[in-house]
Amino acid sequence: MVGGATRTKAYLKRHRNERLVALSFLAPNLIGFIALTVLPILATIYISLTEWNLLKPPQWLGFDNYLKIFVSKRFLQTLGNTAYYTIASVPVGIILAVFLAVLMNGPRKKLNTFFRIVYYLPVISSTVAVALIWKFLYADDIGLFSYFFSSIGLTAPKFLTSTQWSMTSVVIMSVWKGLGYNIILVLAGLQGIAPTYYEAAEIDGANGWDRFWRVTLPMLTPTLFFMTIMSVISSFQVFDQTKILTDGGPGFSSTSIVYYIYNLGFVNMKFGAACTVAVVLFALILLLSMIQWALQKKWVNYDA
Amino acid sequence: MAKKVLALVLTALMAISMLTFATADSGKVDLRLFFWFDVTDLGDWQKTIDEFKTAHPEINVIIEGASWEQYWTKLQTQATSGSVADVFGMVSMYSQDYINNGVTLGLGDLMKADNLDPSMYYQAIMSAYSDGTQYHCLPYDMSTMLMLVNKDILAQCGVDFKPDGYTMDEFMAAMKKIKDGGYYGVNIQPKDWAYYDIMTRAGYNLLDDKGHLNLNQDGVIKTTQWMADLVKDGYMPITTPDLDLFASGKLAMTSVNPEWVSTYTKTMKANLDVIPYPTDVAGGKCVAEGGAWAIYSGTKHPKEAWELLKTLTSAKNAVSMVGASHRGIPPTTDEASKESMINSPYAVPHSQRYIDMLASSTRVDYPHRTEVETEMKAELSLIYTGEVSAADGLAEFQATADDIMNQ
Repeated sequence: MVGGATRTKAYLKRHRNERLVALSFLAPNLIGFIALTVLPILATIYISLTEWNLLKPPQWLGFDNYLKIFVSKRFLQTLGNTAYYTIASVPVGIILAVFLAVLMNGPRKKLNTFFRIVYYLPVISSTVAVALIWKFLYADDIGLFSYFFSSIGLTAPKFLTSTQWSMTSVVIMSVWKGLGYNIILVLAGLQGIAPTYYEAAEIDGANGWDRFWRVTLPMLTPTLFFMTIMSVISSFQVFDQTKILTDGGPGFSSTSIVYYIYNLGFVNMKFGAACTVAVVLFALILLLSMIQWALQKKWVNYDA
Repeated sequence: MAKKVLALVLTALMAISMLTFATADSGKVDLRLFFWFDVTDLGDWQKTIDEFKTAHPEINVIIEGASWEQYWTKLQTQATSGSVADVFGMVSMYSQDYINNGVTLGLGDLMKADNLDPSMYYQAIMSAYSDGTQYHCLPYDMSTMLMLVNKDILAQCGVDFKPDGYTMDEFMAAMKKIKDGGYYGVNIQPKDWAYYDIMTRAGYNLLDDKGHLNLNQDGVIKTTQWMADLVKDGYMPITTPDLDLFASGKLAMTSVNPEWVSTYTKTMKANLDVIPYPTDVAGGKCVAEGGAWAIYSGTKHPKEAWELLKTLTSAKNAVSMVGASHRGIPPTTDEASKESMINSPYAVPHSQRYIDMLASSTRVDYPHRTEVETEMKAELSLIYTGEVSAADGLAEFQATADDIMNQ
């Protein structure tokens, strides 16, 4: 019995030491995560319950900011703008990526490589630089698009200076810029599909469209699910494009939720209200992600 | 194993603590100076700063710069953390926020001790820098707007140049001729204090009895609609993205402050001059805003900071840094300051007009100005692009603005 107790002590001591070693290796990352992620989130939640202009100490308001924000026409407008951006950009971006990736997955390796590079170049370019170029392309009267329209006898829409087109123009630019990244993800998914499925389909008499619809697409659903979740999250965080292309205008027609947070905080110096919107955005993205996660059982096929 | 890990951690901690060392005490006072310097700006200010350093060898000036937009974000975060620079730049549009929130040091005692007479500055701008009992900032320049004209385009299109400005009818006739000549006529689409400037020049009072902004009045609506119609009629370009049609010789007239005059006179080979806005009303006031310097209320070196501030806002600096470069209107009322701007190599024949207008200048200030101007900018962009009429747009804006100002 004494020998057994001694062996248990030694066992516990060795495991405690191993835990300490593991903790010491995890510590730098944990400290960074707590200091740079957890604490700022907690601070944001606290500040959302106050009125604070940075120049004086925060003043406690309780849930007043939350009550005001849900009846604020500006908040509802920017929420609508962001929802439109998400609904327009995510499906278009994914469908285009699938279409182009299937084309680039053919037998002509050099041509595939060339197009993959071409489509990926915008992804690695600075969003600000790309937005500045597109701003010139979209310009009324002097922009390239305006010239193309006029050369075929049409009048170009006012891409950046009309409320009807401003957000759509941001969507077009964003889809163009992010296409390469989505293509790479789809290509990776396509190359993970075992050729035996296609062989079996051919033997069963499936044509090209059947093979795409009944083999490729179902096998791609895990990739598409990942792309959908990530695209929705990033579309709710759109900022650079709206700031550079349209400055959120005309009016507030292309102001996204994050740009609205920036305006509230850094222009109007209302950090309490800005943090409130940030918390609401966080909750919204979390909710949408949870809904998508729950729905994956219905359409995502994880069969190997 | 645990002992080895513990030993490693302790060694690392010791090494980190050895790497941090105290700065040797050099006996000099370090003054931090924070401003929205860009490449050309710093060169202009550096001369004044170097002269100050020579005159005060016991003071070391540490220059910190940021772009215009980043400057205000950084200043706010510095104010929160109590790390604002000893001397920092300020503008009349935002000064009251910082004064009212205790970021700036009151200069009353310092000015009294040195017998510094504030009447050496134009009084129109000084109200922006006061808390009602004492000044918190001193100005280094002022700014107001005039129409810069490319006389070569006017000559080409057969339009007479009128140095004293045009009546509204004369102006519209000129616009038509310029458009027929293949050019854009004018660019005046202001969405900030320059908008107030146009309205006050036309004789409108923009503040109601409560001191709140009121744009929903007939004259303001009519003038705003006139500017929107200039776009509709093809005389004014819709906002072009950072492409300066005036600089590329496609636009006959544009609304500018003195700094932009010097930018164009440096880069354009054209006959340029300034004229007042077209109007049928005499005696309207111009709106003047400007830049200033302030001392941080938490500075550990108020006397040294005051010496630097006096240098940066002196009449001598106004002459050499502001007037001579046509960077702005010198804020000091002495003759040398006025002449420095008129005789600047970047001046246009009637640059004197900028100074003459200050005699009847005013400011438009009201509660929650920054937040209201965000809404104003958005609504004016809809009006200028023709999405809404001036009447509808300004009515909607006024309702929103009233809610904000009544907070």
